Amino acid sequence: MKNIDKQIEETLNSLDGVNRAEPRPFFYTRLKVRMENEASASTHSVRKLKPALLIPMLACSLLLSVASVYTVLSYDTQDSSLSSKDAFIQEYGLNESVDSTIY
Amino acid sequence: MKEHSLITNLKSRSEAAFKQLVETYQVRVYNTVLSLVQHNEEAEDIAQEVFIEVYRSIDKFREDSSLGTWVYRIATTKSLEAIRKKKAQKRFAFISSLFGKNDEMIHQPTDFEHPGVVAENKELAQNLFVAIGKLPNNQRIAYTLVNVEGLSYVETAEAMDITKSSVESLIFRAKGNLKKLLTTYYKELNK
Repeated sequence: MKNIDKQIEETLNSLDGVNRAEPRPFFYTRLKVRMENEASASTHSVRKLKPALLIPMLACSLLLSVASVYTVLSYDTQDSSLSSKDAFIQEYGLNESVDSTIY
Repeated sequence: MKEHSLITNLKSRSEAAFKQLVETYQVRVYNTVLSLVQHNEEAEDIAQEVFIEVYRSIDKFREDSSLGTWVYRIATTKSLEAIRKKKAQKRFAFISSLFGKNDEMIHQPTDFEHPGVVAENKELAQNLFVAIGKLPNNQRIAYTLVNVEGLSYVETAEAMDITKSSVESLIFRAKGNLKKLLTTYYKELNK
């Protein structure tokens, strides 16, 4: 156990007088290159994004157009069904009978 | 260039100021990051990220602490992020291996040699770094900043944004845990 205590003590003291580790030479140069590469990559990604944005935008506007055409058409159908309903009521004099019941 | 004018010039994106910042702090940042992540190439990569982060967020620096303290804070945060990421990758690799995927092994820094350690202590320091790597994050940072980077308790407290007494407590607990870890290791070794 005494031996282990000694080993532990020596291990804990093994960093006494440790010198600072230094990065490889030209650290600043490599850093600048990386920053420039990242900056140009982000510019490229913006450029690349443009068609990527355009296609969904076109798809959305197309969908909206289709949806609005469908809505208009279905409104017309509703209208025409209403008018045929009116025609049905008029033809069979249903309104008159209701009116006559009331008055 | 005094610190305040250096900060002012950094905020106005002066390249000369940025170069001066890097040249002033590169060794301290690299040494801190290396001691925490225990991998040479990764340490250089993270040290670069630290300076990129300083460059990007210098406008947010309100000079409540010294520039050096702020840089240390970013260095420890970035190192911890890398350690967490590596742990997550290891977990994923382990799960993948259970399902028979042939993934590349994630680097396990068990044989890390700090280049600043004197020759006769190399082996002992290796054992110590393995044990330091097993400490909880806060203890690991406090112990590294004090014992490897040589910061005072006050400087460590500022870098970690905690009180000096918290640093004392972290160092005390770190030493206790290191003794336990090393006891187990040497008992196994001496069997």
